[in-house]
Amino acid sequence: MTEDDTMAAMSSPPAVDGSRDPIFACSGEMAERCASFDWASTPLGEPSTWPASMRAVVGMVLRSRFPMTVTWGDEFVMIYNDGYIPTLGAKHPGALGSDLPHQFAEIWDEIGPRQRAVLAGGESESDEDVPFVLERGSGPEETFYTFCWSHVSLDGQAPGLGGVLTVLTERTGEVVGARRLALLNALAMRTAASADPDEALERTMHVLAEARDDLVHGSYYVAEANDRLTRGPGFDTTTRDDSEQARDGARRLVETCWTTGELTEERWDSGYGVALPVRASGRRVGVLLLELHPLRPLDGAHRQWLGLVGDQVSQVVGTAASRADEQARVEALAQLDAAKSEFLSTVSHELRTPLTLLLGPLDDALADPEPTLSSVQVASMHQSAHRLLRLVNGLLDAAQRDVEPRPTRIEPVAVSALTRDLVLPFEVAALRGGLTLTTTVDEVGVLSIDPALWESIVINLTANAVKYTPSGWVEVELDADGEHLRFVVRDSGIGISQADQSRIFDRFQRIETDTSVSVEGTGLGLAVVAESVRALGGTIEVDSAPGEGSVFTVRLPRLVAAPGEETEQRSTIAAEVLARDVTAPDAGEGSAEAMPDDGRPRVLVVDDNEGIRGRVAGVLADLGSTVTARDGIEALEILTDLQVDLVVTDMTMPRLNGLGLISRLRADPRHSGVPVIALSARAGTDAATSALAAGADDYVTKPFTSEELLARCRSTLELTRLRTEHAATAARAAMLAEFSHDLQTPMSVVMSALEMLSLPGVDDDARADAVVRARDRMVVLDRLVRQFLDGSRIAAGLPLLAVTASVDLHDLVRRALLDQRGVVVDPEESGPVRVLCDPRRTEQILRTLAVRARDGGDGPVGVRWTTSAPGADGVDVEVYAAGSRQPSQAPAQHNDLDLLVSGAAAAAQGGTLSLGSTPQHDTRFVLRLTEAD
Amino acid sequence: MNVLVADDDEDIRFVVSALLSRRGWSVTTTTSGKETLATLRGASFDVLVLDQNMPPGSGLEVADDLRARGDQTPIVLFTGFSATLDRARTESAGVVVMEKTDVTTLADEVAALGGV
Repeated sequence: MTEDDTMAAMSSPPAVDGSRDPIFACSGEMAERCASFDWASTPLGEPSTWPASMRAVVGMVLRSRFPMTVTWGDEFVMIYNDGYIPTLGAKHPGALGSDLPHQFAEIWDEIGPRQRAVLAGGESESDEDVPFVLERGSGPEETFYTFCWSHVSLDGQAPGLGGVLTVLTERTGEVVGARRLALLNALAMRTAASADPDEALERTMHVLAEARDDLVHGSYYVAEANDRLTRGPGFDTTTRDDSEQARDGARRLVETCWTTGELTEERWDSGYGVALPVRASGRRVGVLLLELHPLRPLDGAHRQWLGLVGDQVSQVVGTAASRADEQARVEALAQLDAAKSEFLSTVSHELRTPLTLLLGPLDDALADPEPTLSSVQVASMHQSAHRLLRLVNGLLDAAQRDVEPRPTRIEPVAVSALTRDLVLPFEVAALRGGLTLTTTVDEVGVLSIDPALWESIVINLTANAVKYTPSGWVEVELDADGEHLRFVVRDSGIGISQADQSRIFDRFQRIETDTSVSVEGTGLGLAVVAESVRALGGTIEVDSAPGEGSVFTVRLPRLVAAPGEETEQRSTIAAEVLARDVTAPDAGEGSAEAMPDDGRPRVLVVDDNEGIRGRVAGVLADLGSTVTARDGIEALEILTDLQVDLVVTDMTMPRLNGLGLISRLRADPRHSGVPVIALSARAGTDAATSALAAGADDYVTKPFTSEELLARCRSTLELTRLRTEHAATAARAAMLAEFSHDLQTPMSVVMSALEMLSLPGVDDDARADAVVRARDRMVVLDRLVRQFLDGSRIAAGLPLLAVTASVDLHDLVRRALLDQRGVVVDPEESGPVRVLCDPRRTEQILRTLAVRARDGGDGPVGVRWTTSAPGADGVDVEVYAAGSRQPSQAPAQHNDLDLLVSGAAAAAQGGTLSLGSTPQHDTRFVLRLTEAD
Repeated sequence: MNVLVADDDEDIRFVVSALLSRRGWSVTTTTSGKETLATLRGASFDVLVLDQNMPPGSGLEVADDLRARGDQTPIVLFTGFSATLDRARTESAGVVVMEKTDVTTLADEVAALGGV
């Protein structure tokens, strides 16, 4: 048949012989089914009765290779082709001849209105990649379709009674595939910068949580050292089923996956659970458990994708783990570097102190045309040279041990006697440093031991205890504990924090604390002890807490030597040398009492090293007088009753270091202005910067020449003098300004009065009043000007002149305070008495005091006087007021010139003026005058 | 013309009042910034002569308070020490600054400001 024939056949009624109706006469399952379908039981009736156009459309649908269905009438009776079967799933073949609203009940709400509109003759409807949740037999399923619905009209039928032709393509694979690919990309992109596996997993979970159409829950299980799996980060896009049963299921799945190392899946009530192995650097490190979205079937594509997710997570975790390892290596190297720098800094400090003491006198001697050195200088240089040598030897020993460990030399040794000898020098040193050192050495017998190693253990631990115990006690104990030798050193020192305890046995490690930032030594002592203990097959423990002292316990195997074999052991020089170095040098040579008051600058020199103190003081002898202190605390003690012009301080000192001293000085109003020069042997500019930041004025690095130190001190003193002068000039200017201000009001009163007197139209009473007021103000002006002149004399360093006479004190007080309202003379105590004084000056003093008392207090101003004890010839005149106002509340009408002049005026007539407060009278001035005969 | 004179010094109040009332003007006196503000709430004046320092309160505080209420009454800030005043501050308060030692010209200045 040609196509035309077919079309003609389909549009004609079927043959009556029972052969297949031409519209169904084509290949395919659906043509077969349609041919044998009982159409008479449907609203459509027998196909032979269908209108020709309907028959033509049905024939076309059945012959199409594209998925199509056509529905008829408002019952939407379905006829579909083979391509449409997957869309129906389990609904096939029951959907044939059935109504579409029933078959697609799950989406009819979404599509029904649009289908009806098309059926009613509306425009075709089409859409791409539209999501539909379809029931195709395995539960609700997420699908995507691209479709077109078009109206089919029938000949002679009323509009609305035709059909709807649906042509569609399922796009689920493409849409879901693209989505999953995007997720894999996001996973790679957004986890790439993770610093460590934890962060990588956090980020991974964040990305996976966004795949809410594919995954509902996720958890990562980290494998611990013992193969235990611990639940780590995870995500939930819906409420997780946290029932016992669900947790059991998850655990089972994760464990199976961990054991097999394969993707493992299980069907749960809520959907599929899948466990994916995670590997890093080829090794299994954990399991990623995912619960799939219930709308997504677990098919091949899905499994493949999950596998890729697992691989991606493995890669992310692996990369992050190696990055974290790398970071840890870098940090370890940096720490080692820091320890080395700290060591270099410490060593250079240690080396520079003796170097300074050697170079200083040499420089000075060389600056002399005929170089000479005194015997004292030579002795000091000799001592410094030896100290330098010891330090260098110590460093060489340490370096040697690094390169080639010294072989142990086991000999029979009388350990108890040797130990006593070794500790002895420290007892002397401790005594000098004000410590109690108790030694309890049991007789432990003659043992096989390396005496040099034993010596290093004993002297380093003891030296360490004495060093780090500023005050209190140190106990050294040796006893035998069966097969072990036990050596214990306890102290009441600064202690060691838990964090530092793990590091103290590392080479070059020194603990820096507030209590003692500067203890001499290269930081090798405890490392040497640890190495010696190890070489002797023993153990060392430390038990300590900051501020509560430390206990070091060494245990060594006690190997008894054959009797009578012990060799003579002598305590080496090392113990004596170390013992000499661990305690503070002798007391400072200077004291506040020894300070001459000769007008030359006074310099306080602070350094814990006796040699440096002596040298600095010697150099600065040209500049002024010096006083010395051993550390910041001693410096502050000296400064409690001494004002100095310059402080030269070391930075690293016990008890209170240079920075601490500078900050305390700057916070103390009495010493906040004193210039400070920091002196330090520390290499590097950090020390200089921190000293200057703390408030030091200048900085000198050891070793220094005498010229350098002297020049810095001179320029600092000069700068300070200029600053002080500038401040004094400013103060004088302020005083002048206030003085002119004080003159203004009386001047304007006087001038106004004169103006009034010169003008007509002012009545006589007012004129008389103006004259009185002007005269009173002229008196005030006179006093102010005299006071100012007196002030000028005082400022110029000239004495005030006083003409004394014998006057009745009561008359004088009355006259002085006549115009001072509210001043009460206390008659109880104030008997008749004559005093020898300059009446005008004394009146002025009393007026000043009355005004001051009135402004300073709240209550009325009182005046009283008492004669001193019989035999003495003084009379104390008190001016007082109760209550004390804050300075800001006091009327700001006074400069201090009045008090200054009053004090000088009192002195000019042989009296004194003092001010103070008592519990009863918050403002109180006492003017002491001489009683007349 | 009504003039208000505010100063904490009694002598200044006396002489300034005498010099101004001599011209036939009615003079009211107050002794502090606070009292001045209270007085100004119940009465209005043609010119104000204010001391700067008269605790509690100051001449400039009184001026600021008036200006904030939109009151543009002419003000002479009659001060003991004009050099310490902030020029920008006095300009923004719209006051004429006069030294107390310039007392002889005060009446003329008040007359000019009061439009007499």
